[in-house]
Amino acid sequence: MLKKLMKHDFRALSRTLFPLQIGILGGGLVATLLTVLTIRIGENTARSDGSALLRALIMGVSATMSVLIGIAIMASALVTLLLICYHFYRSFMGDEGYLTFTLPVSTDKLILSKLFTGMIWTLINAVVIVVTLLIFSVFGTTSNSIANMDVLKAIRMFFTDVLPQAAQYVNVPLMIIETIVIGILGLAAQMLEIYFAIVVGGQVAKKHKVLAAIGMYLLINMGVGIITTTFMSIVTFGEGLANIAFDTVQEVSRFMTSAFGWYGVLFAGLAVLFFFLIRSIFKKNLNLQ
Amino acid sequence: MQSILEVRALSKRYGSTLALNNVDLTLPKGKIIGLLGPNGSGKTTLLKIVAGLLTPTNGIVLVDNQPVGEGTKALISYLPERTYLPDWMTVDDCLDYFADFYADFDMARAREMLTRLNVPANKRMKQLSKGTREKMQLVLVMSRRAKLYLLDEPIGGVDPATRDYILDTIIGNYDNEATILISTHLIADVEKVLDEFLFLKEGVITMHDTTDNVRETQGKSLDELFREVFRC
Repeated sequence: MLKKLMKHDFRALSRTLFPLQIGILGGGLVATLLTVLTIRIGENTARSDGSALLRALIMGVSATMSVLIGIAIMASALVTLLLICYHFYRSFMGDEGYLTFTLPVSTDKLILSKLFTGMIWTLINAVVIVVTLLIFSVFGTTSNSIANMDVLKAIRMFFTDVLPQAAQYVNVPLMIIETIVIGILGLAAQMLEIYFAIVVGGQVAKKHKVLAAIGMYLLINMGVGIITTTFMSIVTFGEGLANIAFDTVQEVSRFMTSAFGWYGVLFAGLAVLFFFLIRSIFKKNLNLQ
Repeated sequence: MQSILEVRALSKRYGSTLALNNVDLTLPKGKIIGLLGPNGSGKTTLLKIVAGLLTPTNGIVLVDNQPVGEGTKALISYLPERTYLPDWMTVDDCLDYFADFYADFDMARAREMLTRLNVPANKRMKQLSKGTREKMQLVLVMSRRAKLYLLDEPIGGVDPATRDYILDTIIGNYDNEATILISTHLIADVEKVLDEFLFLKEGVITMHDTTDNVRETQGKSLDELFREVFRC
């Protein structure tokens, strides 16, 4: 049943999120092309008549374009998150709740389906953003050749020099796996925190449920902040991390491994907590108006 | 006679308002039962609790001897008083959705009913009129081979011709083993199809009898009795 739920949730979200991702990529490509054109035309003109003003103007246009693309990409990430949250709200708190909650499916699966589809779309959005930024960095920042060789060299250097060097001090594959796991746990905890705020907002408010959900999120987020700070303070002193001098690579590595692990525990704990809170409300206090 | 629904000491409170007050009820299998009462008497609240959309304040609800949950949702086909199908879904999407989740969904029956209604399969919900969407929901609900149908005001707010269509659809598509609980205040229209009725007043069941018994013992139609009992 989870597969079927996810299939329908994915289909519902794809209607809006797929065109949005295409828009981000398309927008990125157009911005890259415009920037390259601006740089090339401007540089040629500046070179021919030696105008410093023109050169400055071109740099300005190019920089503005970079800022605009950055803002658009940030906005797209926010819009993606908002659309995922709105889908959750409609499915559970709106009229569609009459359909969702009468399905012969366990509450756990209903929540998990929304969590997994939300996470998958967030990750897709992250990949699209990275690809768009890469395209812009490689193709939109040079006037001499098609691709910016410095950016490509830096990327190659990361794999040929930085990673092998780091491997002398840390277990690189383990670090990569740790980062991915913590990223996933952090995303799950964050998503469930937002979902929990939506559910509580929907329960406490008869009208203006969205506003109530935003208010609840701010409140819950403060609580999470306090829990995180307290937890990490205890860990820092308990593990003796506060005494690390950070003057050798081994010490930095020890700090990172330990901190990463405890952040993983914290995120997993928060995700489980929010999951069971949502589950409890749906199972014991559901009052769909 | 075996029961499909058992409700014991059921109460539901919204703040200071008591919507259901200590309701006890047993409904048999294979009957069409009218849940009758004026607006605000607790009809929708009762149906929503049985469907699993509201948590009762007190009491027990058993559907085919199971407490309300995942298992009972597979047995109940519920038609709410509002339209709940997402705007973006096409008629075909809705059919697929029901077929995916309900093992008792009869796709052939649904398609046949929709063909009779002239609803194109590729139309989105937002392109259909409110009346057609309501009919679409009724088709989905009645295309299941459920054990208990909960129909909340299925004929409220529609013209008399549509009322006849809806009642014909209900009668023509239900299994003799199944029970239908219809909530309405339009007694005259549903009276002819009801085996039993419940009068609900201010959250309390004041009468539960067969329609034949009312006619035979009191010499009145159900509509007349309703007007007498609920006279303002």
